[in-house]
This record gives sequence, C-alpha cells and structure tokens, in this order.
Amino acid sequence: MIEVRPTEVFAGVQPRPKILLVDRWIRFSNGFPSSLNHVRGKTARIAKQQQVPYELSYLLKEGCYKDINLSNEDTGEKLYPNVTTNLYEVLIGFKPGNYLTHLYFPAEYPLYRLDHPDMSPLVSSLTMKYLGAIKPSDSPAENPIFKMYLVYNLSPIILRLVVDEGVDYEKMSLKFTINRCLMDFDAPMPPHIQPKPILYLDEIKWMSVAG
Amino acid sequence: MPAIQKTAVSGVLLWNEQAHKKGELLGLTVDNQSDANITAKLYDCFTAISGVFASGGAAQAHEIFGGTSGIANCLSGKIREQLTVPAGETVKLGESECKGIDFLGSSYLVCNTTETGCVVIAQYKLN
Repeated sequence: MIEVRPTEVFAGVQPRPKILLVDRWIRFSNGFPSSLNHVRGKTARIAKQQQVPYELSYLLKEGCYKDINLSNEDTGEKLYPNVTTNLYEVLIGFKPGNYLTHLYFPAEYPLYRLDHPDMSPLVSSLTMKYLGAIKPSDSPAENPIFKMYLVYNLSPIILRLVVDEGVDYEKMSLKFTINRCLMDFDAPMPPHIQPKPILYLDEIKWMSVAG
Repeated sequence: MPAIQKTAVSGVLLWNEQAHKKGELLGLTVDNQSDANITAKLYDCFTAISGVFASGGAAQAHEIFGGTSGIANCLSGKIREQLTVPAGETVKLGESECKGIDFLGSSYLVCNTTETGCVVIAQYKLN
C-alpha cells in the first residue's frame, strides 16, 4: 500500500489554556542574574491571577521608528510588576498596519538575530530591517501569540516600532493583555508536577551551551 | 456601522478620532439639491508623534495635520476623498468604491460653497 499524502490524525488532544491560571506551577531558570535573586532558580505556584487589558497606539511618519520602553522607568510605559511576588505574563497583539516591531533586551541588544556578526536587525538597512522583525500578522490583536514574562527589577525591554515604506503615515496599535500573577514560593510542589520553565531573555538570545 | 448625516456646510466633523482605531469609510452619499455644483472633500486630521528617521537617525518632529473644528484647521489635513456633484443630482459611493479609504484621525467634511439643500451622509466603521 502506498500513501501519497498521509493524513495526520490527532486523538485525545485537549485544549490548553494560553495563559497561566491559578494552581499552575512555574520554575525560573538559574540563568537569571543575581540582581533577580528573588526569582532565580525558584519554583512557585500561581496563587492568584487577573487579566488586565491595555492598549497603546503611536501614529508615525513612514521610514521612522519609535522606541517603547516597557519598564517602570520614568520614560517607560510602566508595564512591569512593582513587587517581588508578582509575575506579569504579557500577551501583545498588533492591529493590522504597515509596520514592524523589533525587540531589544537590554536596549540596543536585539533579541532575535543570527550567528554571523552582520546578521543583526538594522532599521536603516533595506534588507536587515526585516531580520527578526515581528509583523502584525505574526501576533494579531484578535489572537495574540507574542508573550513575555516580566518580573520586578528586570532590565528594560524595548520595542522598536518601525513604519515601513509605502504609506505616508501609519497608526500602530498594540493590544496588551497583562496576566497579573501572584506567586507563592513557599507552597510545597506536589510530586509528578511538571512546572512551566521560565527562561531569562539572555538564554533565548544567545542560544549557546555556555549560555 | 455608524452613519452620520450633515448638511453641506464647510468644516464640519463627521467622526472623531479614536486613539486606538482607524476609521474606515464604507459609504458616502452627497445629495445636492441646491442650484450650484458642489465639491465635497473629506479630510483626515491627525497628529503624528515625534520619532527618528531609520535612515540617518535624524530626529523627526511631531506634525499636526488639521486641528479641531473649523475650515481653516481642516485644510491642513490629508484629503482622503473628493467628489463634485452637479446641481440637483445625487452621487452615492458604495462599499466597493470606498474600499481602502482609511482615516488615521478625525474625519472632516469641507465643501467649496455653503449651500442649503445639500446633504451628505457617510457610513463608516472604526477598526
């Protein structure tokens, strides 16, 4: 028998919630720096959670960019938790438009790049501005998949919003869903529980064995 | 889908800017029952924030295109649609004709002349 195009069949698949809910367990990696000792290597149970919607919009000329600091600094958007026991699970959805988003952590260090020294996002380059760029269709406002985990004292995450050429002006609208989670570090973790791993952003950025 | 009806006087607000939404024009009717031809323009009035030019890194100052109500303020906005309707006639644009006419900010109607007996109806959606 020859199957030209075998059909994939999924049996017993159950939907999983997109966000952390009460009684879920998380484990912060040991890759967090010592300045974040309040979470580094720790396991926690989600004791309470609450979803807070928020929107930010920026209307900008084509070929220009704007850096958005998500932290609680004076110039930031203040989307970080203010206490050590809180974790913000932030979903970001983008409304349609002719713009790109680059992610920097910390400032000037792109999160998404390739190994070659030349292969780093660069908004002034006609080709490199698309490297590692998030388009609105990648995480649409109606079904966001772009997610980040923010803890107290984390260095600022910068979103660089770039209006691509081809439109005169563009309105870039970002829809945030901030899942405010209260973490319980003292609860004993039951056996057979697989906690969700939370990696430090540098671990994702460099992707090397040395970390 | 909201719709708004205005007599064709100059510099009137059709719909206001919603900070996190764009306006999409879905239909436009200009019923000119006056004795003169009339030219109606739809202006998009908004403020662009300051930024940085991607090529070169020079600062880009914030820009204002059209202000609050009044014809003088509207005229610095961006024209998104223009229609000339002969005296005694009606021009109607449907969804297919309006496709792609988006507004970043407030929408203002400006006519070349103030005539009685002329009515403008716009259908729109904020996305």
